[in-house]
Amino acid sequence: MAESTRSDAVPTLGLTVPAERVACFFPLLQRGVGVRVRLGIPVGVFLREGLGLSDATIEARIQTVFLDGRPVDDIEEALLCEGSTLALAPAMPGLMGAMLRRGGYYAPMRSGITHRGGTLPQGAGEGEGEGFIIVKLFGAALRELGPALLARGVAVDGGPLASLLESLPEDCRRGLGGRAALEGRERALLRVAVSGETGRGSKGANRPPRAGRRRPGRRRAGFRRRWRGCR
Amino acid sequence: MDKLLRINMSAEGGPAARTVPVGEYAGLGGRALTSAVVSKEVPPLAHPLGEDNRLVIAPGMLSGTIAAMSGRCSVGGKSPLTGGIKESNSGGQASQVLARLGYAAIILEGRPKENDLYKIFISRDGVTITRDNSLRMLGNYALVEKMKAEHGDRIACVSIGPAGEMKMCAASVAFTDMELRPTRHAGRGGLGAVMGSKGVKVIVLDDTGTSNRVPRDVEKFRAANKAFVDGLRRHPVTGEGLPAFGTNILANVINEAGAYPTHNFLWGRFDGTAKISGETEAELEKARGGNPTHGCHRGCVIRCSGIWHDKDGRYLTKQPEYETVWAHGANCGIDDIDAIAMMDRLDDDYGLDTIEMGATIAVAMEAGLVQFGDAKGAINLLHEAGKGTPLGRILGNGAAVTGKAFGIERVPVVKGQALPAYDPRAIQGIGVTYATSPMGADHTAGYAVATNILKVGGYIDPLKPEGQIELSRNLQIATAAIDSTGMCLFIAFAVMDQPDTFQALLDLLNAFYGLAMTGDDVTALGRKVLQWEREFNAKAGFTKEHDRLPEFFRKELLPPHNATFQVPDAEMDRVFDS
Repeated sequence: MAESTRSDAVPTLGLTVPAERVACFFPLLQRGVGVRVRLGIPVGVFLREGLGLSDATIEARIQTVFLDGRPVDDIEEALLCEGSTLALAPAMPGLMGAMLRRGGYYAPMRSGITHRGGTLPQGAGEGEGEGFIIVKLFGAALRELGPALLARGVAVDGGPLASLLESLPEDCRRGLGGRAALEGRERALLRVAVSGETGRGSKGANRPPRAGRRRPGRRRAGFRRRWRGCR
Repeated sequence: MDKLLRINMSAEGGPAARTVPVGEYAGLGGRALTSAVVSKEVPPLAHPLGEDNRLVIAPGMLSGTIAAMSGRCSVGGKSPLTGGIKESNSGGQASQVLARLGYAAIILEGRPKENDLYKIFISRDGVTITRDNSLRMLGNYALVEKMKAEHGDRIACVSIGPAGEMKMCAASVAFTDMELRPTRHAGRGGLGAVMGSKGVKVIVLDDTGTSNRVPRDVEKFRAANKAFVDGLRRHPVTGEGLPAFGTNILANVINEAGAYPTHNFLWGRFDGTAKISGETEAELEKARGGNPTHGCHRGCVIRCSGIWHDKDGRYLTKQPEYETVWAHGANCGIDDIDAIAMMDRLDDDYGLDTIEMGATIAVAMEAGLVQFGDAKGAINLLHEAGKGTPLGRILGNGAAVTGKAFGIERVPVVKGQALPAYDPRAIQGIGVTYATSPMGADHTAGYAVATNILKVGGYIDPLKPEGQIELSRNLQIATAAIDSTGMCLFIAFAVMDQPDTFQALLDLLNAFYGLAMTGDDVTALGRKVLQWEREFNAKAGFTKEHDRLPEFFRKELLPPHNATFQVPDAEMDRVFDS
């Protein structure tokens, strides 16, 4: 089921898809999607409060973390600012995987690109305290974190979103009446909920979760102003 | 495995096989055995394609047993690509079959007097060597089909494609997998050309009537294997990541790190990575009826490989590996995963190393032969190599030769061998290994076995500048040791993190051979292997000046981190000081 709402600046597309179709949206998550966060918080806080992960889950499942392309060793030291790119993945194979693992024994072998946490770039985190970062998910993190992230709502560039919508299987495309309204837009907010049924598309679908929704005006202002980032 | 099969291809009256006791090589397997034979029997200044070179094919120490992951097969010789000693190993069925037949190694010696091709058939009943020129220029797929028709489907094949026959420096040695397809390759270093120089097109192995090798202590061996498998299955990399997504799960992560070489090592990020990532591959494989979770040999519990179907749902090739997808993908600016899979198939069929050919095509693109991103053009270049056209003869001899032929300065090779899929400017530590490995630029030369578990070289302070040098040395030692066991190197992930899994590996070796080896003994073996290899290379003319990355890695900034390779030469020269 598709739910297309449109404000003056940021259209919102809500989709409900069968569980087995959630993977259709994973290419977006690999490339990165916009996620609204409290600015200035450490990555660890975002994982716990923003994504609802326990410390044990973070320790066991999120062993590879990048902030702005730099491997993070201490997630309590690395701070999120406007436009930050945060990539999350489990432990990765190979010597390279071992080197990139946070706090790993072989971390010195990539010391030249290691993220040095602790300070926000000048001007970051100012204003009302919220903004957008880019979140990327790799490997098992796609399945483990992807559905919840999509349900909460992610900001997506218009081009990739249009390409994705065109490539969706028919049972996901049903009811995409609002798609045309999204074309030509710079960005849109996408919400994807998983249907309680499988393989039957939108029939009987759940509505996208209300949690995390904000008044259009407020979201629009923050989203537009902050998207360009602090780098 | 108490005997060697020596085949003299230049014997009077035609090639002659003799079985001899393993002798001074007793207790060695895999890379330890190939490097021991090459260092002791091959004159260091011998021409790699000459009669004095040897081609050594050696299963691992635990191949042919029920031990999990024990199916790697090492191939060794003097490399026509690097001019130094070479060991390259492969999965597939041959290692298990060869070990069950009782051979610690097959050693091809000499060179046929005439330009003939031979088939070698090995079974419990003996060895038959047949001149068969009808095999000439067959691709590996057609060759294996022919062998299947002649010998049935209970065989395993070790073969070369047209590239090996043409003695190209990028030629691989192919091994058949569980489905009897030639999808696994000892790719690096041009050892397929050495096999071609011996006039051997295919070695057919048939273990009918044989059984698994029996350990000295059966109960301890079984218990150790169970602990070993449990360790592999509970580790997030060997138990989850690799089975679900294969080795190409690394693509997104290395790209994010800015270390994913793109457009012939010009940039560290590729825009099209999400289209060719392991995650995308796995989803496509499932959608097309392929399989993203598949072992390359019986006894594999990690199952990091897969089966790739084309858009019409028909088998095309095995799941392209991380290095292959990078080499033919990002490095050439190509984000079409189906085109990359086709190039993987062509490499396997022609018998070419995917890393070397991807790097070569990128150099050719820099030279303007085709444009970066031109998948069709890249495929055509592979056909040129496979068919042996004049251009193809240049390309099939690798990136270094191609760079010279077309006057390209930016050629990413060390000791003549193309760099794999990690840019050493972003990840300085791996640059040390690329530069100093006796094998030439090799991503597996310094793999991950924890030095704090193996206790190689004592405690290392990772904050010291020289920490990277010591880590690289210790990793190379540990890798040589693992390669010598014949275990798949991917066990390293679990062994690294879980001391009990490393102990289980030691227990497997000890229970099988009735030994009491410790981690120190395994380390000593790794050191010894590296010493043999470096001594051979020194006698072959290699100096410390060969332990260097190409100049452009020190001069050109690599976006996005704008890094250059910074480790001083003097530091690199210290890698093997102790």
